[in-house]
Amino acid sequence: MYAFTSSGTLLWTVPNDTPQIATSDGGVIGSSGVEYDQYGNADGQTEIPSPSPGQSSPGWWPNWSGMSYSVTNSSNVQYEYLFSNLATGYASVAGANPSGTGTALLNIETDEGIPQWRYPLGSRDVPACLLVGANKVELGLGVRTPYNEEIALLYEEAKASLLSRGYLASLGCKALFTQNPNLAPFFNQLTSAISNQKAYDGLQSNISKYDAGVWAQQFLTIPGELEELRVTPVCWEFNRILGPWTGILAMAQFQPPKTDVYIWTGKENLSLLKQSTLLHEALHSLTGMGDATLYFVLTGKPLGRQPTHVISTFLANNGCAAN
Amino acid sequence: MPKLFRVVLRSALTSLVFFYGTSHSYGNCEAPAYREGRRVPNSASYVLLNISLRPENFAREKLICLASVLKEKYQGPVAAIKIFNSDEAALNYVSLGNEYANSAVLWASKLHAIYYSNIERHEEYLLLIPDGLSPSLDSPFNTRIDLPEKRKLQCKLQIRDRCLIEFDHISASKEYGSGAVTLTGQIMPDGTVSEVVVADPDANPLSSRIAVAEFATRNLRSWRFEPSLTKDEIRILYSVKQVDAPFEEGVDVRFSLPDRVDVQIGPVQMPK
Repeated sequence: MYAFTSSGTLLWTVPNDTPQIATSDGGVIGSSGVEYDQYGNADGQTEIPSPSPGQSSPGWWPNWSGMSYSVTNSSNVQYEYLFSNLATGYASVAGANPSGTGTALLNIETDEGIPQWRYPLGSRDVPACLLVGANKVELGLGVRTPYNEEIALLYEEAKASLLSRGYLASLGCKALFTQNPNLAPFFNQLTSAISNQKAYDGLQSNISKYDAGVWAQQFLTIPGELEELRVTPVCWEFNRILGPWTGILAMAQFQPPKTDVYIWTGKENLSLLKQSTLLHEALHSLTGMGDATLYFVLTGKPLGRQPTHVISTFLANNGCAAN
Repeated sequence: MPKLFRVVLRSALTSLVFFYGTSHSYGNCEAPAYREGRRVPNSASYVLLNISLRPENFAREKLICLASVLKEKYQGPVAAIKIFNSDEAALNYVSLGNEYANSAVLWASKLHAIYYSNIERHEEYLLLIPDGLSPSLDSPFNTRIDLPEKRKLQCKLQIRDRCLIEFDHISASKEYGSGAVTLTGQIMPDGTVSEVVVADPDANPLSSRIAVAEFATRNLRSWRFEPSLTKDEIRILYSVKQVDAPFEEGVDVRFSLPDRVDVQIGPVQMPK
């Protein structure tokens, strides 16, 4: 068994064993049943069931649900199971997928230990998102991913409720906006901004951040920023496996036509995507203010290191959206 | 030398070499060791890379020398190499867009220099960035050093020829009220500021006394200068005013070093 770095440098070797299953802690389980840590040290031994007399040990094999199994008696088809947290990314199991057919599948996450298998770029699922393209995938369309259809429904429900239930014209919301010189000019534009908002699937849209218009003019005075915006796909920003995603739930368009919003279609948004999220994003597009400035304008306080959904909460608490 | 100590020492030295490589002699200068962090994918024609240095290596001569090493190693039509004082930040930093996760603010605050070269535009420079949340070329805090440069240039923010390398971003807040406070302290040889005390505790009305003093003390303690062999005494007046004039992001911060920082807080000037 040989381990390499991503650049091909040999890390460590272990004689007389074969890697079978990469685990989420960076280690690997060999066909011998020995568990190795990320440095090649044996740090555990799974007990392989005794093979039938005259049979060699088959070792552990992964299955599609994140379990590993071993045939204890092939004639009676008996199995023993081992729970193993599979590594995310490609090639988390020998044979490229649990059936060992050689087709590399991406395990995009382990949802409480259950792997989510996806085809790589160009197939019927979430693109791996390494390259800039021209795709802007409408929310709920594209390929089916674990949560995109549910999140699209949530978005549509939130939008319809926000427009139909009078929150945007409520006394509290009117007071919040009209008594604030920075916000007053936008009060009468809130309804049209929500109506015209177009939601896209942040995980499936590989258009560059520059072309998506999710940047403000002042960014271009940062050395290297223009180049980075041009080579970074929107979906990469939302990708927690291959990219840097750390919690952005939505990304608004700051450049004309200022209507687009890219939505994180991961499971966190099942609970966090609300009417106030839509309004929060619409305010970015309307005012051109980023999170920190928008929070200060709304509250008079610095955002600091608070999670930015406090902006959405503040809008809801002031009557501009349902809580 | 006790065996355990030797093992620990060897382990520490191994870690140092593993994580930071070794320093590089370049011409007459010694470039500090650095560690590579995140590299932006898709950048075949661009080198868009984060690296990290130990905080004590943020000094003009060392950074200028490092720029020579970076130029030689990372060749491309355009190179933008962001230099952090934290390994974690260099690994995780993503440009702060309009919207960001809260951890991203911490990483961004650790950005304290950028090496930039653009062959077509005949540009090559270092940008020293004391406030990582203000990395623009036109920020009044930042010092651009056009390369090649052999002289020791003045920084925009410095005291006794020691450049201010780092300070906490000053955000707009109506909570500070208005007032002024004078603080004294010492710039230590490693560049940090210690022994910060309020020199005029009764200068402000009670309503703003605590808020202004706390803000100013917290901010001055975040300052880091270039290392030096000496300790330097400092005395800084922080003036905070709530005004009616609009500012970008609602705040205007002006350093008049060696002895004054003026913070004006007003409405937000709407982005164009």
